Amino acid sequence: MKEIKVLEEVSFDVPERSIFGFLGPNGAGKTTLIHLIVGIRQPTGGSISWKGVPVTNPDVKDSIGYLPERPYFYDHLTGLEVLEYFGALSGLSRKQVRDRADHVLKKVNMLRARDLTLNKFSKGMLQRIGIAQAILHEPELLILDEPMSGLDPAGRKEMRELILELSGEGRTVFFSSHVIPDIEAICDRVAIVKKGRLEDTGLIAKFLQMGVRGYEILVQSGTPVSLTKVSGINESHTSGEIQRLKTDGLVPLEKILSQLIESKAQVLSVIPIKNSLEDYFDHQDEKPNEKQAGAP
Amino acid sequence: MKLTLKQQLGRVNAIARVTRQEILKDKILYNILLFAVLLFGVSILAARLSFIQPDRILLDVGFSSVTLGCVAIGVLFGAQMVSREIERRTLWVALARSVSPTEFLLGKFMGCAEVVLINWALMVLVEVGVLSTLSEFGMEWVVLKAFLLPAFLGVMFVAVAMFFSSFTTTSLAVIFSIGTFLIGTQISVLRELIAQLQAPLLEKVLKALLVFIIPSEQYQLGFMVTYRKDIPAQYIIKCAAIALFYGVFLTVLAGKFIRSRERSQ
Repeated sequence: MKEIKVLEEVSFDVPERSIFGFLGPNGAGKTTLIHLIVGIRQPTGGSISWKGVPVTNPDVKDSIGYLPERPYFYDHLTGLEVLEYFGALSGLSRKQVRDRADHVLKKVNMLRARDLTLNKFSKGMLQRIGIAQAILHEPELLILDEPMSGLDPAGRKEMRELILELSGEGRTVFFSSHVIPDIEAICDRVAIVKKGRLEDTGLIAKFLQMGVRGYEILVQSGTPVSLTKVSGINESHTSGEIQRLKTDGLVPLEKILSQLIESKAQVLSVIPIKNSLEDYFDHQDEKPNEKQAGAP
Repeated sequence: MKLTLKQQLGRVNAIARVTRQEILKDKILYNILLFAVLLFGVSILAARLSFIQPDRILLDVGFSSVTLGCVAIGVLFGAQMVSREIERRTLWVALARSVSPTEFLLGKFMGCAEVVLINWALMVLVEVGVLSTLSEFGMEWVVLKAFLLPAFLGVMFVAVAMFFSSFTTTSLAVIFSIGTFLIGTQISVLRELIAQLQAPLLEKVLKALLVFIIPSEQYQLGFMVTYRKDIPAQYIIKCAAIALFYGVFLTVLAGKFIRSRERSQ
């Protein structure tokens, strides 16, 4: 059977109490790495440890809370029964689970679903009960595999707030996503993986600090601005009464604005265009493959 | 923090509870029970139509119904235990905790065995009712003792089916388990055939292979039951011990297969 390397040369540290984003496109190997961390799969090489102890150690396993990508639970159980089941798997007694259950369900805003069977849960509710079972045994490290996947905007916002809250309690949160804004919004640090290899890792600011790379200027389209009359504009789109101009970042904003005022354009707003992880991703895609380029 | 024995038993029990709840919600279980009840009906009808020894028919078909019901529940649910867990990935979520595959399978085995025993008790109750009302000998202790054997057989075949399902699909696990059951019912025939062989080496090899065949024949005492012969307590204890041995041994072996499957997925 032909062996395929799913992950190779992936090495990074996750600082305690941080929110660590693990970013990569679909099929990059994010879930595989998470499976290795939580012990679902065994690596063929290398090591993974938490506070210097291998993650395969039962004590370490008990200090990890895990939310799978698609919450895989028994749908005949109620919210409370799910917690009782996973609580027992973590070594909690039924009394301990019952003492904690309401608090945990309240935290994830699922108290109303306490006695509802999972087959009546929406996707968002399943994600939340998944978080509830992951934090029930009060783990130090939370591993969330695509926690926002399939959620509507309100659900995503709630999940972001919940992750921030859990991190605020002193937990380390490691979560994977292929959605860049989710990572940008809440992570302190990020690791970017592509095709099973680690592209880069570091503070989120490292990826965002390339500064403002231009401006989007909105003008009233009553007096259309000609690109030839104003220097430093490289894009123009008109929709309805609004004309959107994008600067090239080479000509100072003051100069562009003064040219616009001179040409009697009515400037409505100026929005800075910041660098984002998305740009970083695009930039990485544009880079030629160094190894291939260097090959004889 | 090392888990205490009580905590470990607590989690095996939690897995067993969830398994039992799940099986009890499955329609297949009630279809098997309905089939067993129909067989009881057939035994009553056949006994009424027969002029010769209607008691024997009641007992024979009743005993067979309980045996078939227990084995069918054991095989059909045991075969789903691992493959269904892998398919919906509930196995991996459990193994992400400090639960070993053997502990997990032990919980599944116990849950399924509980269902076999609950249904065995129900079927025996029906048979007791049938014999008490329709048989001229009523329900005797010697017969009741014999009805322990299908329970052991059903529990043992939970482990057999679970073992097969740890490395193959549900349907193949069912086929392999039924095959194992049928071969096991013919051990004495196989032994006679081997004894007739003219090649001593081959005879030795085949005799050695017979040791690995699960002796389902021992659990079906047909004539002994229908003629209401007393079954020695030692025999019943031996059958219970064999069932327990295969139950534990095959569950542990299935756990090892799951571990290797875990590595190679």
